[in-house]
Amino acid sequence: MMDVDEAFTAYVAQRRLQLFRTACLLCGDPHQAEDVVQDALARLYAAWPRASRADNVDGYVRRAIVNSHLNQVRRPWHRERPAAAISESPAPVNLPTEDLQVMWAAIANLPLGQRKVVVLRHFLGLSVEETAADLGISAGTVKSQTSDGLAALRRALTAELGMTITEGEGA
Amino acid sequence: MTIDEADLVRRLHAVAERFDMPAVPPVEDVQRGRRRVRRNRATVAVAAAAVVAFVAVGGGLVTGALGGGDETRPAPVERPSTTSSPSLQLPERPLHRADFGRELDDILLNVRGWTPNAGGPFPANYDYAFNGVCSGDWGDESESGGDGGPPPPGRNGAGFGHLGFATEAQASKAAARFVQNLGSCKATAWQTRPLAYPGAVLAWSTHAVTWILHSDRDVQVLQVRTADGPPPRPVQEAVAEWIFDFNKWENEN
Repeated sequence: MMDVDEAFTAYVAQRRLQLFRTACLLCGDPHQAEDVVQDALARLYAAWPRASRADNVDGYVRRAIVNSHLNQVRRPWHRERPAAAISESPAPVNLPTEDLQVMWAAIANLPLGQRKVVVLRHFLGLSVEETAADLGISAGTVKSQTSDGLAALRRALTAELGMTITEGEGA
Repeated sequence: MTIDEADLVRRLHAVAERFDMPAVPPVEDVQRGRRRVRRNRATVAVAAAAVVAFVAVGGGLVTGALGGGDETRPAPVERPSTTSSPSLQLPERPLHRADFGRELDDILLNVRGWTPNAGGPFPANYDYAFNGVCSGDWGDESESGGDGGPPPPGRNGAGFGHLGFATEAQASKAAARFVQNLGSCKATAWQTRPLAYPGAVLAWSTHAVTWILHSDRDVQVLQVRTADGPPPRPVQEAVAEWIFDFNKWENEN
């Protein structure tokens, strides 16, 4: 049986990149995202026995990231940094950098509540119920926030790139 | 051109994948986790002390024996162990200065009934702990030092200072002089008492609380602005431990 350090380290090695990218989308700033991930992982380490016994490590760390981001937003002081920009490195998917910049700005400009549900639902692929549980809100709120978030993205992409988002289930 | 929900997901992933994670050795995440565990223990101890205080005050009300001042604070609580379990043998690795700032925030900003950065401005004739007239010559043998370190909560007149000495004996002597000199302050009444943490002394006045810690060849002083007197004992000890850790990290980096 692995001890806490071994199990935690193995988990971090496997998931840290996705956690970091999730935090980037939530924070809109990779530097702040790294702070958030560090804080969330420290919380996870402290709660590892409980979270792993409940077989809910992913859920715990997702909530920790969301809460840690909220704490950062509420801090009485925080480091000021220039706004992050998308790097010029080649994208793994065939999208022009300009498209990604527009998408990135549109995500960053979403109200926090909408951003959280869009990231959890559409980046992490959580269900409405899982998202509601992670964020401590009702399924109805998840649906309405998702719908509003997608509408806001649609408006932004339409304005900048002349695209429209095909209406789907929304939530 | 239209974009459906699947395309939106693809774009979200494409944006996220542009961000490469900074190289962070896993051992640093483990270390931060261990420190979190330690702080959690301190928090639990504070909560336990609060319960003790509640019971004590309740008993005092019944007997009509309520006192005042710092002596009415919760009884000392055994400082939580900071010793790692036998399986945790990872070497100490540098963290980041910001980590220490966050840790101090965590320790000091969540104490119920005790508020840093409160109490208004210092009086004009206030005797600051670190460089006040009455403590001014305590570090005359020092070789290095100054203000620095992560900003403590309540930077209004509060701060972090350190002096380095050629020998441990000199540092020890300077720390003792510092504490002794505080007793001679005229404008500000300082009270002091040793902490359980080795080499650490707590000083407090009506306007601030100050930790003085001598370790190796250094004397560290952390002053936090507050009108609430000393925080609960576990917080006092946790801050002393934090100062020791920070000093150690500074010396190694």
